Amino acid sequence: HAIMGPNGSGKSTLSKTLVGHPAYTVTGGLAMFNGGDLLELEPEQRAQQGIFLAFQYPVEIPGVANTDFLRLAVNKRRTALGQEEYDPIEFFGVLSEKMASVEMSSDFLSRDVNSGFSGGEKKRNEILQLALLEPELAILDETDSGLDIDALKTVAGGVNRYKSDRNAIILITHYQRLLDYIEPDFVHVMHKGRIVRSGGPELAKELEADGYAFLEGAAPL
Amino acid sequence: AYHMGRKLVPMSGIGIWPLAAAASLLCQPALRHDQPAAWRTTWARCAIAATEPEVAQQLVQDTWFATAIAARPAVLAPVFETVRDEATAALCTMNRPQRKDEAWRRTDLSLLFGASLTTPSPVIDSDVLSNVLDDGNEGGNEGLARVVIVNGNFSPDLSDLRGLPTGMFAGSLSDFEGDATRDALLQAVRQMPETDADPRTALGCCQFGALNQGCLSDVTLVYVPADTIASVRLVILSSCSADDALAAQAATSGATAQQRPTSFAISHPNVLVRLEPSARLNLLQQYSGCGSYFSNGLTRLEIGEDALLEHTYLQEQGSQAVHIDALLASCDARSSYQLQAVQTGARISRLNLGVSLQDVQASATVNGLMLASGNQLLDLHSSVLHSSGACSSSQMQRNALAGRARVVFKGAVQVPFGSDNTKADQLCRSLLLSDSARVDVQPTLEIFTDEVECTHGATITDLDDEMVFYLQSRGLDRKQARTLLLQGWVNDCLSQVPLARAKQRVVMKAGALALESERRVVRRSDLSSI
Repeated sequence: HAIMGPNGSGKSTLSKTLVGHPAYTVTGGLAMFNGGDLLELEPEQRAQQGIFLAFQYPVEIPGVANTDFLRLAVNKRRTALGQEEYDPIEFFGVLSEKMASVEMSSDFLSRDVNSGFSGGEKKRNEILQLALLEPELAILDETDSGLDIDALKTVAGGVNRYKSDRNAIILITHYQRLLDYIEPDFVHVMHKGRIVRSGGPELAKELEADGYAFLEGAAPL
Repeated sequence: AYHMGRKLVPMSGIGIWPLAAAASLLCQPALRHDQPAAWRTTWARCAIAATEPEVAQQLVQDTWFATAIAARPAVLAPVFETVRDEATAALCTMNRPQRKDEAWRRTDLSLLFGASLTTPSPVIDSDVLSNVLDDGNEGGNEGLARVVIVNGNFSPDLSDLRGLPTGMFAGSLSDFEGDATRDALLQAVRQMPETDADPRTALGCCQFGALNQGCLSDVTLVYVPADTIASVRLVILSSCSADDALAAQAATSGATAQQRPTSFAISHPNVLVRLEPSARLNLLQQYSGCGSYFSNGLTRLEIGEDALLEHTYLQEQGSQAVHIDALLASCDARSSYQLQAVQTGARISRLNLGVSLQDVQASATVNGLMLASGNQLLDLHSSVLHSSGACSSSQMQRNALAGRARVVFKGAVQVPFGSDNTKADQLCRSLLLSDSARVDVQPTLEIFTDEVECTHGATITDLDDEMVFYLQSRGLDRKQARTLLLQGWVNDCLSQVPLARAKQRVVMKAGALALESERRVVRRSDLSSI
């Protein structure tokens, strides 16, 4: 599902609320995930159950090594799924393979989380984590912003490899360009915190041509 | 040269004073006609004092110093007697540090001054000892020479000097062969720290330094001859009094150590490290002990031309201990002093660090770490003095506090007139992990010349909630996230620590700080809503 909409419509707020960011308090409504109430869970529980947010501005964490952090996160997920944890050597094998798929250079292993990374590297790191954690619901918050053409193709490739019948993706974006690489099944338009219009992939092309002017008189669905 | 800055004044108004304590007050110094008149009066009085305690108690201005002197051990070798006598004479006229003294304004020593001082037991706690041995037994470290000081005295039994290169000496200064050098070294020891210092900017090691020199029983020397490369582990152990040790054993297993110690076993380790030109020494200086004791140390580091000293200072004293130490380094031309000072233990810990860059192209890198939890008070007062121009220094201090702990940092960079082409920088970063923790940060630059490049900065924050949330969003719970962040933050500072077990203990303490602060509520206003 792609979600588009003008700036300030609440797309990022929605994604942050779904993963439990402490800046937001939910005052009404509900969110159900796999039959359970999502909003009751702590952020780490939501992550362990299979929700993943690829941040728009991933934060840098100097002092925490990429390898340690990723292994911890992956093992948490595997424990939640009832699988065996990886030991460092096994994990190194898994990590190297996934690193190749997002074209991450080998010095990544010796660096700290997002520390000194360029914008493109940070976004690719998010997709690397997506590939490692294999969540059931992936929310990609403006993953294409700040990426050059090649980085965009790499990121899209990573997402497409992850995409399957057993998982779902919410793709938040402004531009048609990403949707050329990652084809959505549904496109929604958000305005002032509500979904005002839904459609298939052709809706995105219509928005590209005509913009959001139609929202002036739109009523929520 | 040593000189007394004050006139002797007769004591009055001491109050109730146990005569027994004053009885063993002063040893018998020899009267010498070549000493100034004022000294001779002192010596004469000291001689009388040994036989007339009532007169003696009038000599020592400060009652607490008097009890400290009364509790001092006998000197191990006659060669140290001059040092002791001179220091005791000076101590007679000094007052203990007061809160109104600038150097001690933020450090509350009432716990120490309100307690009685006792003699330490000669037996070191077995857990402490086994930790010391285990630390050294890791892979790759078995050959590391170990110099052990017990309650201020060099201990040949616990030391292991087999790994020392030829020509190098580690042990009691009295055993050093080579009279000319030994006399020169002894001269260096006789110099008392900060006798002339401006009280507004002094480090504050004058009084405790004089106490150390006046009560020492041994001076431990680590001597590295020219062009020699060596690694040494210096372990300074302290014990509480025999009575306290028995009481601790008799206490029920559920009882924790007494909340407010009423007596401290006092010891005075005095260390001299001398590197001859082009020597290179990797020195690990560790402190530990058990029970309630007061370790009043003084370490001098003399780094010769083109020499390099990589110094790791690990203060891991017991939780009921008081640790006061002066670390005074002087660097000759083109020498380099690289210090990593870690303080995690003791109930009250104060490190006075004085680095003097004496000649051109000397450099000093001082990195410090203080981890305070519970109701600890950890204090670092440092002064980097660019006595000569064309020298460089760099100081990075990191502090993390939880619970109701207090940390005090005063970092001074002093560039006197004439020290051109100086480069100095200093940064202090503090993590306040609980609402009751408090850090006092005072970076100071005293610059009296124009051709310098000096910077200083300080940051005080909590763990970044955005970082914590990022880790939570990947499945780690809040506690694990904070622990990972703190341990990562601390790990950066521990690159110079050679012993993996010691490093691990520091990292574990950082993790413990994260747990102690776990209950803090996330403040919504601090988070970005992007």
